[in-house]
Amino acid sequence: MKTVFITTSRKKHFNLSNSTYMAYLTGLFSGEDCVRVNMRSKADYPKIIDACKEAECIVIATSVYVDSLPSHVIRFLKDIEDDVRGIGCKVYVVCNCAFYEGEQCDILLEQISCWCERAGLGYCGGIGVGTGEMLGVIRFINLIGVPVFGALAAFVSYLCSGDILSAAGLWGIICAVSVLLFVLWSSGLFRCTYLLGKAIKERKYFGEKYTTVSFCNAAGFNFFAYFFWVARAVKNGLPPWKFR
Amino acid sequence: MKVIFCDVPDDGVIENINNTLDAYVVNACAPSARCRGCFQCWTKTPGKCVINDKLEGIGSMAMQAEEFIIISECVYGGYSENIKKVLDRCIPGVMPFFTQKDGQMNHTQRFDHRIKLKVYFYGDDITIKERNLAKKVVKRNALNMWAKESEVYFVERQSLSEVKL
Repeated sequence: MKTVFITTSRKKHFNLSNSTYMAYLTGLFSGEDCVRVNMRSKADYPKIIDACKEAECIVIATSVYVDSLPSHVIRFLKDIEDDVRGIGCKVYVVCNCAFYEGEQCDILLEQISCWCERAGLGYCGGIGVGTGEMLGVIRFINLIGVPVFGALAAFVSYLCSGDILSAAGLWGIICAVSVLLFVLWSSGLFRCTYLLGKAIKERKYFGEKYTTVSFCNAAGFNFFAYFFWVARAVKNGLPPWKFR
Repeated sequence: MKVIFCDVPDDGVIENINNTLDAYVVNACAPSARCRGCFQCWTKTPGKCVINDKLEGIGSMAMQAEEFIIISECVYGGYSENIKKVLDRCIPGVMPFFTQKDGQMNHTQRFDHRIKLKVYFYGDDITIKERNLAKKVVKRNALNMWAKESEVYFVERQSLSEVKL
């Protein structure tokens, strides 16, 4: 009997979405028979319903929009409520929000719990991850951006010194520090997705666990978030003094 | 002026509201685009959604209203799909930056004005759990919208036209 991961991102490149990333991480620890289906429109409903009818566990991956479930997920849950009634699945949730505190995902988790009661499914809990956007950004910056920048820096170093070994060493150090920071900052996320995956594999009740970016307090997050939004705005041609 | 979001499919209720109040009424049942989560309302056209439709300025309008009223079916302890679709388009009404308030992080205000948030949930079989969750939703929304006060009411569907907004 399999586990079905339902990702609900509406992003064009859904595989880049944070909730899909977290579903993928959870899937690594959930056992072998896992299937992922994406819910972007009503056209996806039949294949999702068929997958759920053959499943023992359903994992819903979504993001908090304005403090609660996004509208397209509310529609999806309402539309399939009758179709999944009686299949007796266990339901888990992976969700993220933009705020620092993962606890602000609590409303979304409780809404899924209410849906499970109405649909006759077994709600087993889930994880709420704060700083969802930041955890997504560091994936690219620490694993791709910094190594690429490091390669350029190493190349410049080689041009200046002619010593390829020291240039390679420089690049190695930059990459190692970057990856270490990525692992440190994401350690809370990795721990929670591992624990949830294990609970899914064992078909056990999980409860609610909340996490956020590790080794970075709220003030630090605020600092990075400020520059993130300013950088995005400048990229769109909007100067900071026109933010309001 | 009041801003009212209403998802009652009965046009009579909408018409009644239109005729009796100085209000800007959004019929949430009318077709409209969903929020894309592109955040360009924060980083490209501050305060305004980039989707060029009648909801493009609704976020800023709602955050500057004298009262922001929502009339919604209670679905799984929260708003209906139609109301949420319109509410999701309201994020241009706040800033993308964060601040700590009452022990948790919230978005900073875009406007100095503070709204009064009133939510009327309707439904014939709302459970106690859903009722409590709905109150929690409104309280959390009020925090993020920097509302000076918020009120939640639960009414029956057939009594909606009698409610004094």
